[in-house]
Amino acid sequence: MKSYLKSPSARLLALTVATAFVLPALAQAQTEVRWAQWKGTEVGQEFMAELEAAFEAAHPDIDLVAVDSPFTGFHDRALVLHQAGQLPDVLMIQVDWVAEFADLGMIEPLDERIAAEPPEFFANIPETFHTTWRGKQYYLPLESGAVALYYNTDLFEAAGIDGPPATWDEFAETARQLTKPEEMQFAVTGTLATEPPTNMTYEIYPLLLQAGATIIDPETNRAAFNSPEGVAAIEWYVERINKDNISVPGVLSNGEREKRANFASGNIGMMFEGPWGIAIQKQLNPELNYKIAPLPTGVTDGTMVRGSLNTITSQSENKDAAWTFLNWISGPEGIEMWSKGTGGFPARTDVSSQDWFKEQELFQAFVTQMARPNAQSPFLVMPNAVQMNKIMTTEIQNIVQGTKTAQQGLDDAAAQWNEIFAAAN
Amino acid sequence: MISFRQRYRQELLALSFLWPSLVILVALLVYPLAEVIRLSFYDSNLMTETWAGLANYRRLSGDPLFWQAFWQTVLFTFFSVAFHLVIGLALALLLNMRINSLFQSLARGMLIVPWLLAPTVAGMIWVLMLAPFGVINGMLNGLGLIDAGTTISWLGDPSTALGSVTAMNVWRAFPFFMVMLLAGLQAVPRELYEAAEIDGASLARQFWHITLPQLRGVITTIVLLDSIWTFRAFDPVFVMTGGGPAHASEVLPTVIYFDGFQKLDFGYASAQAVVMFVVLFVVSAFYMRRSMSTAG
Repeated sequence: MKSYLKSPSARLLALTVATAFVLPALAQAQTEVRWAQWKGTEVGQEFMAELEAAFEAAHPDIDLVAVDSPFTGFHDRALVLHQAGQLPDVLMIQVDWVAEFADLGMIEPLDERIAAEPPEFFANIPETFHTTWRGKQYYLPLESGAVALYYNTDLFEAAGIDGPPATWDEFAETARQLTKPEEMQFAVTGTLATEPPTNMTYEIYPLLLQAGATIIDPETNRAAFNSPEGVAAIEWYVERINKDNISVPGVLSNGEREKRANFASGNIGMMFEGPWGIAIQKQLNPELNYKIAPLPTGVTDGTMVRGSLNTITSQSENKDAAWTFLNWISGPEGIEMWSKGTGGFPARTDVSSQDWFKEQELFQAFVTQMARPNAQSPFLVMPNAVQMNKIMTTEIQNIVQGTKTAQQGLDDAAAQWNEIFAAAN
Repeated sequence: MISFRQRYRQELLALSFLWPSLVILVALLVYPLAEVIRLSFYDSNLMTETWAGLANYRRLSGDPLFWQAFWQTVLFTFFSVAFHLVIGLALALLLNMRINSLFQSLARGMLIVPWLLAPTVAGMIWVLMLAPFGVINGMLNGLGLIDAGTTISWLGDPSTALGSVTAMNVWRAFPFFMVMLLAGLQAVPRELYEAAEIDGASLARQFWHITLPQLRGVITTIVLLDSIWTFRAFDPVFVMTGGGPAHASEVLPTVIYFDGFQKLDFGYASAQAVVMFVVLFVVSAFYMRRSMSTAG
C-alpha cells in the first residue's frame, strides 16, 4: 500500500500539524510562575538560568519565569503593575515595602501555608524575619544581612592600631587617629544624602539602638527615638562629624555609592556596611585588604537587618504553584544554592551553620552581629518606610547643619512619624 | 435639499484623515490631564478614593514645602533660561563672524556635545566633577581661588546645592540656544548691516536695532520652550541632589514625584501638578499671543 507520508513535503506537513497540537498541550501541563525581581542583572543571567533549571528539575510541573528589571524604579513599577492588574505571581520586595504593599492589598499573607509546613521550615528563618505586619506574615527572605564594621587593615597597621574598635569611645579615638585630611585620608564616609533614604540603615538607626533608645515603641506603636538616649546618640554622631571631622567632606551629599567607592579607593579607614558589600568591594577593588568586625557597642548592641524578600501577589492566578516556588527558594536547598551562587548572606540558620559557609571568614562578623541583642528591622513595622526614612534623613541633615538641635530635629521627626502611624490606624 | 453627507463632505473627509491622530491625542494627552484634574479633588492612595473637594488645594496653599519648591523652581528656571540665552547668544554671535570655516564647523560640532547627553548622564558627570575632591574644587584650588586643603561640598551644602544643579542645567542646554540663534543670525539680510554701516551706526547700535529685532521671533520661541522644559525638569535635580540637603534644592517635579510615588498621596500630588500645569499654561498662552501678534 502506498503511503502518502513517503513524500518529504507530506512528512513535513504532518510533523508541523502534529507539533502544533502537541506543543500547547505540553505547555498547558506546566503551570507558569512568573517571578519579578531585580537580581538578574546583579548575579548574572547564567546563574538565574541554573536556578530556574534546578527548581524545574525538582518540580517539573512548574515553569518558572524569572522576570528581571533593574532595582532603580522597581518599587514604582510594582505599583503601576498592580494598578494595571498585571502583577506577577511572585514579587521580590525590600523590607521597606512590606507594610505599604500589604496595606495596598498587593501581597498575600502566608501564615496558613507556613503553618502547613514542618516546624523547622520557619524556625530556621532568622528571628528578625518573623516580624509580622498587622499580625500577619507576608514574606519569606531570600537573603539577609546586618550592618557591621568594615575596616582597612593596611591603614590600621600604618596608624599602629591593633584591632577594630569595640566601643563608642574606642571608635572615636580610632577615628581621630585615622583622620589625616592633608593626605586625603579619613576614618569614614558619613552618608546622609537625601536619595535614597536607605542611608539611615547604616549609621543613624544602629547608633540610636546602641545608645539604648527604642526606634518604635512596640506597645504604643509610636516613634520613641526622641528620648534622652536617642538625643545623646545623635549628639555623639554630630560631634564626630562636625568637631572631629572624621568623615570625607560632603556628608550631606554622600550616599551608598560614594561610601563604597571611597572605601574601595583605600584611603578610608572604616565603613558601615552589610554583607552585600563584600561582593561590591570585590568588584570595585579586589586588591583591597580589609576585615569585618561587629559594630562598636554603646550602652548596648544594635544593628539594622535588611534583606530581599519574596511575596505572593494577590493578583496571582497560580498561588499554589507560587508557594511551591517560595517554599523551595526559601527552604534549605534554595537558600544554599542562592548563597553559593551569588555570595549573598543565607537567610536560614540551618544554611549559615553549614561548614562551607563557616569557612568564609569575611562573613563571620555578620553571624556574630545577627546573634547579638537588637538586630532589628524596624522597616518591617513602618506603615511607609520609604517616606519615614526620608523624614529622618531630612531632620538629621538639619541637625548636622546646625539649623536644629538634636532634640528639636528628633522631636520633629517623631511628630511626623506619629502622623503616619495615626493615619495607618 | 442636500443630505448631511453632501453638506459636510469636506469636514467628513478631513475627519476621516484626522481620526487616528485625534485618538492618540485624546489617549495620551487629554485623558491623563483630565484624570489628574479629577484626582486633585479626591483623597486617593491607590486603594481608596474619597471626594475631598478643594481640600487638597487648601492644603497646598498652606504647605511651606510646596511654596519653597515653587520658588526654587522659579529661580531654577529663571537662571537656567537667562544663562542659556546669554551664553547661547554670545557663542552664536562669535560663530557667525567671518572666521575660518573649518574652525567654525569644528567649534560648532564641539559645542553641541552637552546637548547630546541625556540629562541623567550629564547629571552624573557633574556629580563627579562637583565632589569634594573632584575636578571643580581642584581647579579652584589650582587657580588659588580657594585655600589649599579646603573643600567645598557643592551638592552637600544647602547654600550651593540649587546653584550647582542650575549650573549643570545651563551647561547642558546652552547649545540648543546657540544653534537656534545661529540659524536665526544667518537669516538676517546682510544689506541691513551694510546700510547701517553707511549711516555710521556703531556695532552696539547694529546689535540693538538690527540683530535683536530680527532674532525676536526665534528668541521668543526658544525662551518659551526652554522655560517649559526647565520648569518641569525632574532628572537633573533627582539625579544630583534628590531635592536635598534638607529640601534646599527641591523643585515642583521632585515634590510631586515624592508625594505621589513615595507617600502614595496621589490626590495631593495631582493638586500640585494642576497648579504647575496652570502656571505653565499661562506662560505658554502669554508667549503664544506675543509670538502670534509679532508674526501677524
